[in-house]
Order: sequence, then structure tokens, then C-alpha cells
Amino acid sequence: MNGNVIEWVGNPNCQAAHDAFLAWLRQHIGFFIAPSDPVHVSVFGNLGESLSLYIGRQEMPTLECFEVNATKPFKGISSPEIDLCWIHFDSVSANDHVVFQEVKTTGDTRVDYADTLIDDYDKLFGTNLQVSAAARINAIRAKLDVSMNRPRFADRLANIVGVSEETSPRLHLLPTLVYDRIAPGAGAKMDLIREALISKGWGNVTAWTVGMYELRNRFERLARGQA
Amino acid sequence: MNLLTPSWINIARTETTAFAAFRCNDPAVTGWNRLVSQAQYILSQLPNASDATLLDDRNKQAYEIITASTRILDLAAQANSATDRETHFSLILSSIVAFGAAGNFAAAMSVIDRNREYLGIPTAHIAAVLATNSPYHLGDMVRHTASNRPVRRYLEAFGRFLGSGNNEAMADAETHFLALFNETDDVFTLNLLYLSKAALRQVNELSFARAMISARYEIKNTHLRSILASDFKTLLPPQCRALLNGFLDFKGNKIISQPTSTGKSFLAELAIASSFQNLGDIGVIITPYVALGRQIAKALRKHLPASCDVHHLYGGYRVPSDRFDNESYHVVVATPERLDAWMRFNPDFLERVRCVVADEMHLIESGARGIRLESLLTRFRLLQKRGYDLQIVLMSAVSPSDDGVQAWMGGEDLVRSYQDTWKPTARRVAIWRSTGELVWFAGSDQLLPPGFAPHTEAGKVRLAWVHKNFYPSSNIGVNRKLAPLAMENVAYLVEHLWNQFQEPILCICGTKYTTRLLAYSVAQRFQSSPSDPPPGPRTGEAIQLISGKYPYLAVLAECLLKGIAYHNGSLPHDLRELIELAVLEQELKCVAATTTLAEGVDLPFRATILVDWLFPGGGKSPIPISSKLFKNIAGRCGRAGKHTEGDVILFDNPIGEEQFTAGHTRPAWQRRILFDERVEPLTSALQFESVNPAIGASLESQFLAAIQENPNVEDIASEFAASLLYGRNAETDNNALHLLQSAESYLLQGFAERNSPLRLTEFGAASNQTGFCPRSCIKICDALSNLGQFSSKDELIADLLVRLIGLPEQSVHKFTESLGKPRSKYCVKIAEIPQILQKWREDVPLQIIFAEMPHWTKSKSKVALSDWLTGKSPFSSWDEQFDNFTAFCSEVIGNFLPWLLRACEMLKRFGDANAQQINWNALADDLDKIADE
Repeated sequence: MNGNVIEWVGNPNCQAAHDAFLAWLRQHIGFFIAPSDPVHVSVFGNLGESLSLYIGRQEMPTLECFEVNATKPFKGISSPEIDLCWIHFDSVSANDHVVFQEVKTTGDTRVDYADTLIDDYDKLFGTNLQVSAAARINAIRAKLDVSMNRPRFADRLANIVGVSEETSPRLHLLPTLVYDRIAPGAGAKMDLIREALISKGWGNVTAWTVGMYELRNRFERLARGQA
Repeated sequence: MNLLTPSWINIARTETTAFAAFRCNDPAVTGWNRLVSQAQYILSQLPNASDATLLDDRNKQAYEIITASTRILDLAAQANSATDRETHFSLILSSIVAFGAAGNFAAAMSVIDRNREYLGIPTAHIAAVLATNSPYHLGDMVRHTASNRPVRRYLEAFGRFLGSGNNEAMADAETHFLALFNETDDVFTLNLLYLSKAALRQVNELSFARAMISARYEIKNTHLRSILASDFKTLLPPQCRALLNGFLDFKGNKIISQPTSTGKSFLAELAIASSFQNLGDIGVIITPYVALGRQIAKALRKHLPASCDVHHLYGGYRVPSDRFDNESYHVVVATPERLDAWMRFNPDFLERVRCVVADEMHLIESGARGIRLESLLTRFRLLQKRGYDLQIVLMSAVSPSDDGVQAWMGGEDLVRSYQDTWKPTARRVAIWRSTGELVWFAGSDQLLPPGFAPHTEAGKVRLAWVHKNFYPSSNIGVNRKLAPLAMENVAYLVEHLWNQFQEPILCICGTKYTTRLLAYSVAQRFQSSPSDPPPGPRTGEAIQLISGKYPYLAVLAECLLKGIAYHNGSLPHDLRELIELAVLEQELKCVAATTTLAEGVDLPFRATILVDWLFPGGGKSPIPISSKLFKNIAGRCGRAGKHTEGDVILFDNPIGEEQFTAGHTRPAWQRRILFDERVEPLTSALQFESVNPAIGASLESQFLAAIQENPNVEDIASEFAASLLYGRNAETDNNALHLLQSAESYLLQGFAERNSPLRLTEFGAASNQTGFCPRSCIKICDALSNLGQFSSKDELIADLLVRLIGLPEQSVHKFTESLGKPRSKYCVKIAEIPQILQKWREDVPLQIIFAEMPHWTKSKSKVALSDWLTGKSPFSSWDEQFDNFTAFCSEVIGNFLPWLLRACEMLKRFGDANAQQINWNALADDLDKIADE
């Protein structure tokens, strides 16, 4: 924890995290990119989402997660919607809440790419309804209602998205930066992003950084199932 | 339905903001995102709201909120068309799904059609979404999903439900629909599918087949089965509500009072189809206009089986020639005049009439035509009282089903009303003020925000008039000079609206002159460029027709090249029809028309400009149009299935009588036209103008017919008086009786005998068949007893015309007034009538007949007639002379004279030997140009 930002790093080192994540990928994805095939740039971003999912599952075990790319990191395409939606169904339905986790992954020596997180969250109440908060939640409700046969839980999400940041107190944000630890200032950057989001009216924002040395190289190896 | 709307949602205000922002680029609107989010919030409540029954009145308010949400999304899609493709695409699809959720499939269809090119070939899942929200597109969408089996299976099941309406088919469709949720991970597609659950529920409610089952109506009759098998799969909510409220089962009279574009004509079809019992049965649809009749007949042909003959009886009073055998069913689509003749000549058929539908029943209020319509319906009421097994259906978009009409139709047990306020399109009202502000009002068509009234300004845009210096005047010459300037202003407004909507605009003008002037002015604003697409096929045909047959209309041809037209009663019929078809095919940008195009006919105009708000009335000067007529005109734009909104804009035309147009009075008059919310009861024409001779004549003629049809009624005068709408009003009851008793006294002088009941004499029976009033028949007989010698039949007819021109059935008063005035400037001189008749019979084009009238050689007009004739000199006084001439030809030669000559045939045995030798019917046939279709 650094101020208002939760910083995730390997313990005791990056390789330990690499190995644990690889084991999780083996268990949950089951296949990797063949040595002869190229690793597309989208895979890099998708693996950042997978890594965030892996951490989130441990950190927020009671929350249900609906993701877009994280369990299909090697698909070669990346959907534009909010990456991970964590849902807390409380014993009191009025306390239900949803966490929108948007993940940016960069192997650069600078972390400015994280600024695009603000643009992505702005889209939740924008005019492009393909990526609006309501569309995202309705898609989850569709799954809950039909695929998972839990219509009552689908209905509990009907009012979770208001008409603006201020009117959506049960929508929590979890902006996340997956980065190469060689780049300085990730924590401070994410703190600024968190403050910017709060100033836009979001009531509940927590920021994560996930740092690994040699991130690009590690993700290339992870994509091929290598330690 | 409990639609929870938190305090931070004010959907009425948001909708008003959205529609004003779209039109006015309102800087106060910080962004569409805030507006759209509110709509999304509302729609997100619907997928599992199983109690969201659209047809339940208790849900009315909830549906007003939902409707407002649909409109916000629709407006956002239109306003954001220039943004990135993804955003626009998402807004279009969201608005389609919203309309589906609101049960407004017609609007969903129009959004799909409007964005057809943009939507391209949809993915299979999006095709499923589109078909669910617009079942009209089912066939199309099946074609796009050939390779996707789950979607294909769903659409096939969906189609089976639409055809059968049964629960099993819907359950099957639902199962296949929900299975699609597992076939995609795309968030937006899942969102659309989820929201479409609400539309699927609406389809279940509004399915035609389902409604028939819900109404427990057993479809025994092949006609209803045929309608069911046609393309009519879903109903509009008012239609569905009517069916569920026993529309088909109830065998009494029905009054349908619903806004325009809510499918009244289809209810009429159902009423007729369900009334048929045995071969030979007859259904009647009374239509005031030929164009409307054609539209109705076309729909009937499409929906009814081949075993049902559709007969068109259009035009003036004429003996029918159609066969009405007992080997098929028959539907008669007729103007009141033709129906009148049909009834008088075929009294035996009346027992076979099962259903009579009167479309546009409010036209009962319109003078002599109105009293004819009222009396025709009264005659059917009298037949009902005698036990005839027939029902009457009255329909109107602007007249309510009030106590008076209900009592007229038989009172509580005998009549049922089907009133609805649901509208498929939003109606937006504006005024373009002389101050240069185009002001949009909240209107009465939607949820009003707290503190708003219909006349509250919703938004305005600065649009300065091109010409500003107008002043009120009663001087015709002054107003004439100002008119072109006013039309240039309107042309500017047309251009503004075209740039915004890119869809056809209708301009309603008070006179034929204004239609021409305006079309010309609009065409001047739309300059041609080499990149313009060529005129559409119908427009091209119209241009060719002008070039070959009507060169004097060269200005119209020029206008048509730019997609502009005018439409009025002076245009030749063939050209008028082509212009109507061009509008139908959306080939034209703007049409300036008199009310010929403004009432009843269903044409796809996006906006209507009321160019003149002062219309010719009974007196010399134009007067403000009634609120009722305005509502009917306003209904001409924003047609269901073509549009989602219709805009009607009143041009603050400053030209006209000072008492109406002076600065301090004008706004009050205009407000009365636009926002008068009083529900005016349907009123008999007798109430307005009982002293008008034409109305009195019409009533007496109808009374004569009623005597013939009711030979056993003891006191037919009292019965007829009591059965009139006029007679239902306590204040006028005695008046009606007095009028008819007076008519009865007159009839007893040769037309009828009191053998308790009243019986027509031979002369009375012959008079009845003429359709003329008794007093006119006497005058006709006088003329027939005193015919002179003539060298030609045209001279004979001309002489008869001059002698009988004063009959109240002759409606061209300018002609009547010109008689005996040698210095009259009226276009037709008595001496020239034989020559005109001869050329008319020889089918010489009207403009040639007009140009060859000898008295023009004395004309002092600055423009040579030959120049007008070849189109070289537009906008001269010849245009208006020709307007008068076409009115003369159409009304006097084409309508009155054939009617009069046929009356002569029927009455000739009461004339002298000279009259008896003449084949008057042959003379009439020679002049009669309207053939039955």
C-alpha cells in the first residue's frame, strides 16, 4: 500500500509471481501460444487483465467476476469494454455493489499510458452505448438471468447504474496499471488518476499497480507457457 | 407496473430538452450523454418487468415515461449522426430496442429503414434483435441468418408465433431466443438481446393472431383468416386494445376516435370482414376523398380474399353500374355522393349491407357535403331501427366520441366507443415568428415537465426572416405585393428544415396561387448542381408529361427538376397522381399544396409548414383555420412506419385582414389554433348554417330518400329528425323537426301522398332517383316542359345550364354571380359555353379550351396568352383565370351537368314531348369523364 494506491509486487520476487501466475494459467486457460506463432500485442494487454483477475480472485474471493478478455488471453483480439466486473451480492440487496476494474498494461519505461484509464471510465456515461456502464451491467444481467438461471440476481443489478458518476454510488472503480517495475512513478501516477476520477464525481475509487521486472519478456514467456 | 424513477431522473424535462436541443443546437445542453443515460436507466428496468403490460391502463404513466425514453434515444441517434461510427451505431440500435420495448414496432421499423445503409448487413445476433423489435423485418432478417442455426431456429419459431399466436409457439420462440444469450460474449449484443426481452413480451401482447385468441374470437370467417395471413402480424396498441374490448364480437355501432396513424382503417377492414355472414353480403366504406378511397381500396385488395369484390364508387352523383351478385362478398368504397345514388337505385341491396364505415366523420360539419354524410348515416340508422342487421362504424382523428354522437348511434346498449390517445410518432409544434425566432413549444403530445404547459417554449433558434417589412392590410393589392416576399421567407424555412431533416416537407397554403408562388420560391433556393442525382422515376414521368401535354406548367417542371412541386385542384388529375406517387416514393423535397393533400391521405412527409393560417372561409376574407383542421393537418406529417417524429411549424404570416394580423392580436389567434385543448363535440352542419340553401336542399333530398326507404314508418319526418345528429341536441331538436315538417309539407304538393305513412308519388319516386332536392326537381321539370329548339346538343345543354344555374346543388357561385353582368371578369362567358362543351367532349386539353375562348381577344393583360400557354411567362393573371376555369370545368361540366342531365332523363316523362325525345343519359355520359375503376 502506498498512500491510496495498492501496489502488487512479487513475493519474494518477480519469478515467484511469474511461476504462480503460470500455474494459474495452466489450470484455468490450459493452452498457450505455439513457439512458432507470433504473440500479438493484444495478448500482452489481455495477460495484464488475466494477471489482475488472478490477483483479484485471491484478494476479493467473495466477489463474482465477469470478464471479457482475461480468461481468453491468447485469442488475439481485445474487446473495448470494462475489463473486469466484480460483483458483490450482499445479504442486504441495498448493499450490493459492482467494481469496474479497468486494466492498462505497459512494458515501457514510462507509465503515462495509465492516463487513458480516465478516458475509459469517462465512456461509462458517454454516448457510445456499446461501452456504457448500463450496457456492461445489462450484459452481466443477461448472463445471470439466462445462462446462470439467476433472474433475481439479475434484477438486483437493475438500479446499480445511475445516470451519472454521482448517482451511481454502488459502482466502485478499480483502475489498475500492470507495468514494468523499471518504470518509475507508477504509484504516484495511479494516485493522480484516482484523484481525477474522484473529482469527476466517482465516490469509491481504489487504484492498483501490479509491477514485474522485465514485464514484456515475462509475458512473452507466459504466453508460450514458459517459466 | 411500478416503474421506480429516482428523484434525479426527470424524464419529461429530459425529453423536452432533447427535442429542443436537436432542433436548436441548444448551448444549454452540456452533452447528450446525460440525456441518454436517463433513457438507458429507464429501459434497464424493463427486461424482467413481466407486469409491464402496455394494454393495461394502469400502466399508462409508466409507458409515457418509457415513450419519453425511446424518444430521447432516437433524438440522440439523429443528433449524433456526425459523431464516430461506433457511437452512432450504438445509438441507432439502442433506439430500435427502446421502441420495441415500448411496443412501438412501427417506430422501430422506421429507424431501421432510415438507417438501412448505415446498418449494413447485420450479424446474425443483431438480425435477431432487429426482427424482434421490428417484426415487419422478419423476412429480411431471416435472409441474413442463413448460416447461423441458433438464430435461424429462433426466427423461424418467432415467425410461427406471429402466424399462430398460440402459447406453445411463443414458448418455443422464447426458448430459442434465450438460447442466443449463450451464443455470444459480445457485451453490446448481450445488452441488446437482454433489452429485447421486453420487445418479445410486447410482440406476445400485440400479435394480431394472439389478440384474436385473447379476445376469444373464433375465426370462422375466411375474410379474417385472409387478413391474418397477409402481412399484418402485429397490431398497434389502440388496435389491440379495441380487439380485446370486443371490437369484433360487439355487433352494435362503433365509434373509433384515435389519433392519425394509429390504424383506424385496419379496424374498419376488420369490422367489415367480421360482419360478413353469407355470400352476397355487402360492406360499405364512405370516404370523403378519391385519393383516400384509392388508398383504402388498395389495402382491402391486399388483405381480403379473392372471393371478396372491392367496388370503387368515386366522384359525384351517378347511377351505379357495378354488379353485386350473390356469389361473392362485396366491399363498396364510395364518396358520399356516389353512395347516395347507389342506395337510391339499389334499395334491394340495403338488406345485404352488414357494415357501414364512415371515415373522417368530422366532415359531417362541412356544409352541404356534411349534411349529406350525416343524412346518409341517418338513413342507415333508420334501417337499423327497422331491424336491418347492419352495424355503423364512425372514425375520426379529431372528433371525440362524445355523448351526442353516442346517442345518435343508438345510446349505451347499441354503441361502443374505442378512444385512444396512443401515438406512434411524436408531434412537435413550432412557430417561426416575424422576430426571426423559430420557437419550439412543449406541445401536448408528451409528458410535460412540471410547470410546463403546451405553449411553454421548449427551445428556440435564431432564424431571421429574409424579408421583414410587412404590415397588416385589408387591401388586396397590397397583400398581393407582399405575398412573394412572404413566400421567399417560407422558402428559407424550407431550406433550413430540409438541411436538418433531409426528408419531404409539406407546405399547406390557403390558395392555389400561393402554392405556385411558394414552389417557385423554394426551387430558387435549391440551386442545381451537376452532382445532384437525377429526378426519381415518378418525378421524371411528371416532367415528361408536362413537356408533352401541359407546356403551360413549365414552371412546375422546372421546380420538379429540383425536387420541388406544388399540388392543387387546378392541376390535371394525371399529373396530380404522379406527384402523389413521387411523394410516396420520397422523391421530392418539398410540396406546396392546398388542403387537397392535407386531409386524410397517408403520405410520408417529415414536416408540415402551415404557410397560411388564414384560410378562405364563407365570407370574402380569409379567416383563422379551426383548431380541428389544424390538428388534422398536423397529422399529415410524421407517419407511422416512416418516421418517429413529425414537425408542424406555423409561419407567422403577417398578410391578411388587420383584425387577425395586427401585431397585438396575431399571437392570440395563433395560440388558439395551435394549443386549443378544448375537445369540441361533433356538430351537425345544420347547427352552423341552417340558412344556407345548399344545406337545406341537401337535407330535403335526403329526406326524400328516407321516405322511399321507410315506406311503413308512420311519421317519417319525426323519425328522421330524431335520428339526425342535429336532432340529438336538445336545443336543436325542435329545429330539426321544424325543418323536416316544412320539407314534408312541400313534398305533399306532388312528391308524396299521406296515406299514413307517407308514400312517394310516381313523380316523387322519380325525383328521388335524381338525387336533387324536390324544389330543384320542380325547376328541372319546368325547364323540361319548356325546351326551345337548338341546332346542337351543346347549345341545348348550355341553355339548360343557364336556366338552372341557380339550383343550390350547383356550387360554383362565381359563375352564378357572373350571369347577367356583361362586364364580369369571370373566365367563362355564357355565349361560349357550347363551344367549351364541344371541346370538352372531344377531349381537347383544358388549357387549349381555355386559350381558345374568343373573349380573350379583348383581354388587356400585359402577358400574351400564347406566352402563358407555352410556359414562357409564369405568374401572370392567366394562372388565376385558369384556376377559375378548371374549377368551372371540374364542378360544372364534369360534375353538375352530368348529374343534371341524368336527372332530366329520370324526369323527362314529366316534361314536354320535346324533352322526352332526348336521350339525356347519353348526353351525360358524353360529359362524364370519371370512369369507375
